[in-house]
Amino acid sequence: MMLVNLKSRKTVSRLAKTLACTAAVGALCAFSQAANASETRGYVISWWHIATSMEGGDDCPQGVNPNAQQVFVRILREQGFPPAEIEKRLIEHQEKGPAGGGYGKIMPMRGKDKDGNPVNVYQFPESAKDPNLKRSQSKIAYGFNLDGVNSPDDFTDPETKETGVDNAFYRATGCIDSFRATAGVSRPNVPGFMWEVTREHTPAWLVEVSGIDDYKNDDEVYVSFLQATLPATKDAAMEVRKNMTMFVDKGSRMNAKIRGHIKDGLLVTDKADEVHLIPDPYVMPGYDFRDAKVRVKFNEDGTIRGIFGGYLNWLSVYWGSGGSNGSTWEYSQGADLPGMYYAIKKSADADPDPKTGQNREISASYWFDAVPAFVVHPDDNAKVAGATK
Amino acid sequence: MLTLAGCAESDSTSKQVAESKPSVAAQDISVSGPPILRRLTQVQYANIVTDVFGPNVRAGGRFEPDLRYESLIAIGTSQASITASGFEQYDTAARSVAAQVLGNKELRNAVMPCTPQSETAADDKCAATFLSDVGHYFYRRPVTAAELQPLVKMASEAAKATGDFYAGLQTGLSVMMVSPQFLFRQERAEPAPGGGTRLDASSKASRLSFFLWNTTPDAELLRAAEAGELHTQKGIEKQVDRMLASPKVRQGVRAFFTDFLELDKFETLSKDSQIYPEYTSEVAHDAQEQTLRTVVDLLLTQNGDYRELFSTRKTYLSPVLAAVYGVPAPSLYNSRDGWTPYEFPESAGHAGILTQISFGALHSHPGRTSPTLRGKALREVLMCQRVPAPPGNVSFNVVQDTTNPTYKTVRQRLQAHAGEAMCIGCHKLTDPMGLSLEQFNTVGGFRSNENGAPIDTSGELDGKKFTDAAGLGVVLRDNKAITSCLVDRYYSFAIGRKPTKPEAAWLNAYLKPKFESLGYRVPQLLRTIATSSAFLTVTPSSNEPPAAEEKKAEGSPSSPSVKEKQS
Repeated sequence: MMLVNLKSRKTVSRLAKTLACTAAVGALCAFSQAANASETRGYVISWWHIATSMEGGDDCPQGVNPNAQQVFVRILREQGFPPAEIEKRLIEHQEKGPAGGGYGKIMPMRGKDKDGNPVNVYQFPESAKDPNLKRSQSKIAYGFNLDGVNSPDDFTDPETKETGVDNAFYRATGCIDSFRATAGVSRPNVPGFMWEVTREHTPAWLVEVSGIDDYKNDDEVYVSFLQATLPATKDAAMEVRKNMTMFVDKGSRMNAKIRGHIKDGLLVTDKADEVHLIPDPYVMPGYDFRDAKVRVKFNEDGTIRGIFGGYLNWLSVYWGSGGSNGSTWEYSQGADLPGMYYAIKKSADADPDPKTGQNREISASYWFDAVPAFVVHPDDNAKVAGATK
Repeated sequence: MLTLAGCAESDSTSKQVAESKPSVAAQDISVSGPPILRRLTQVQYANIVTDVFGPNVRAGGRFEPDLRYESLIAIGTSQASITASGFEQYDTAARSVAAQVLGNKELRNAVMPCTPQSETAADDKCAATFLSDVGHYFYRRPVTAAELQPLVKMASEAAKATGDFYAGLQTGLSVMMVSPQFLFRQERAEPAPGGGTRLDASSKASRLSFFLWNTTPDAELLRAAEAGELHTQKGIEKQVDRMLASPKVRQGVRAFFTDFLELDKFETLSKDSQIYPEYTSEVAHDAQEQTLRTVVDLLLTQNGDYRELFSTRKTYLSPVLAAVYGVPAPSLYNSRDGWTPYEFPESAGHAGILTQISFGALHSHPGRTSPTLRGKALREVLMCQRVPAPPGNVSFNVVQDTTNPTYKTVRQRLQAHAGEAMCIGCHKLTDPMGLSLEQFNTVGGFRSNENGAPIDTSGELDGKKFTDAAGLGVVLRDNKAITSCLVDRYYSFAIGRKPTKPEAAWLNAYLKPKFESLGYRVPQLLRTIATSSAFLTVTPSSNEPPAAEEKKAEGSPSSPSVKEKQS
């Protein structure tokens, strides 16, 4: 069994170093030396969620969007309930939760068909009026300038200072409380929860970085996104366990390899026409990225942190942001789902429908963290990407 | 157990286990001890249920903890009783087993030797047949009429009350399973035809079966016992050879090494999850399994030299263990049971069971390693030596301060601590071996430095120096105490008590040299013990004190609390 897929004929000796790094030397091993032959590193993604950014501080000058209770009151008013009745229902709702005050019946069926009959808004979001949710007013956001254009709605990346960053998904949801977080400090509540559900049930997402000759500057490396045969395993801290041996599912659609380069320690890829990431379908229909671009930072503890950007079908993004969970999500996470539907739809910024003009895709960026793993290609003479510690 | 008397007398560590050499023979009937009463262990209880009713019947629940006494749970079984609350647990388990067996039509049909005349009425004849059949295995001998009659009566009355023959039979079965005849292994003596006293045939069968298989005798062994074949050397040898050829011998060897290596202590072992999140209950389980698989493979499958256990790089890995060790395990892809054979590369530093997670984790503190605990375990568990407890007024402040910028490694901290006069003697007994294992962290994973300082793994055992853990394994391999201790422990495990003086003398004069002549092969050791007169001969009562009693006076036995306090 061959252990590492490398470009160089120095494979074996380098592998010995790689494994020695893994077993004996530790986190700084990979960084304490200039690589003298190509290396391949394996990782399993531990966290994946929208690259939201509160760092600017001026993202929601009018405050965040109403929570579930506030939306409930608004709906009651819109439906003509007198103030005293609204007060009574609100108290009952506060006491009994979603079962109280008629919340469980009124909220789902607050849509109207063309004849004015009640319609389930979770199934037919456009049966409700657009509440015009507040969008992020931030000038900074993580991601990439995917279209090569500097538009008014674009951002500047706080890390790379790249301008024209396309991350319209963040623009749409940046003022929904449960989507807000500060990079490196906190995780957004709903997207974080959705990722936890995904990694619990879905075969793990693997990252393989290959062709590394120099961790500081290298003009040709490759980043692969692959799917494992089994979900990730957790440790006692309920985080993804490091250094697991993970087997690649070669039959998975999730099988992308993107060329990139490393400059001053930051790996940035070219754009890939298509990249498919396979989530738990209950959580998200699918991440079928167009014009995907990735950057990766190698951390000293052997982990990596990265940004994944690209264009996604905006309706998939909506369903994956809570739309598929209906009233459960709307109540527990506190946001107006039809409002989010309209916000995402209106923010869609690519691939216009030739008939309607409505953009069918939305630019989005995702944070990901990944821990070292031994990535094994079982049908390729058991090629193994080394893990670092 | 040899006590390393006086910590200040560090040279005493060079003494090996004293081996007196009286002229005793392999089949000397003067070598014997008293018969004893032993409580079934939880594992034995489960094994019996599986053997009698099949693997689909679960003997669930938790019984009162097994008692470790004189270093072995096997000896503790002769000291343990059953409390009132403990009896409730046995009763619950018995009812559960009876309900699973007789409440399930398919299973019931498989185990019932007869068909009742009516399923809605009592049938004493069929009930007696079933209880007699099952009781044969549960009591490890034929059930007497006096024992059977009340069980049948209870089954009959319960059947009448419920209008269900099988519900009634459940009562009879569950009562049988809480009887002392089942829960305790009672050894009975009888006069030997040529003089002296011997175990009766059923007791011999039971001793053999629990020693070699850790479960009740099978039908062939019971038949041989009842035919009188176990009273002849030829008959014993035939059965022992048959039993050693059975896959069940793995179960017996696993039971011994679980007891000998104190792997049961994993049940209460915890680690600081903030510092070592990689340690989980799955790792704890797999760590024990790894060591047991290593043992079974080397000693049984390969029929290897016992001493190789301390130097072999061949082992088995599960997915989580491979992660803790930080090694890839691509061969797991084709594994059917989640395990794969694995050989650590020479450069990895892992060689022998002392470098496995089970030893490293078991003999460490929750958040830091302890060369002292590891060295102490090596001496007490594997070499049958006793390390005296530390004085009550000793200060551990320096040792426990892992953030001390002056003493970055535990070697430096221990050197500072052992500089105190009252400490140096004891630490000389333990630390030089334990420090060679310092590259294995608290959960058994590899590390090359501590607080940024490189780890020095040099050490010494009884005057022999080595540079790392692999070197320790080589030195241990040549240390007579290692093999002597195994013989002592295995014999005690077999008989369930400390050897008497004559037995100890026989161990030293005959069995230990024999083990050496057998190339330290464990199956051959088991055969030698199981076919020996010492194993099967008893004295009706003995005033003979256990052989090691006198030596206990040389040092204070270490209580668990003292062990915990030791750094």
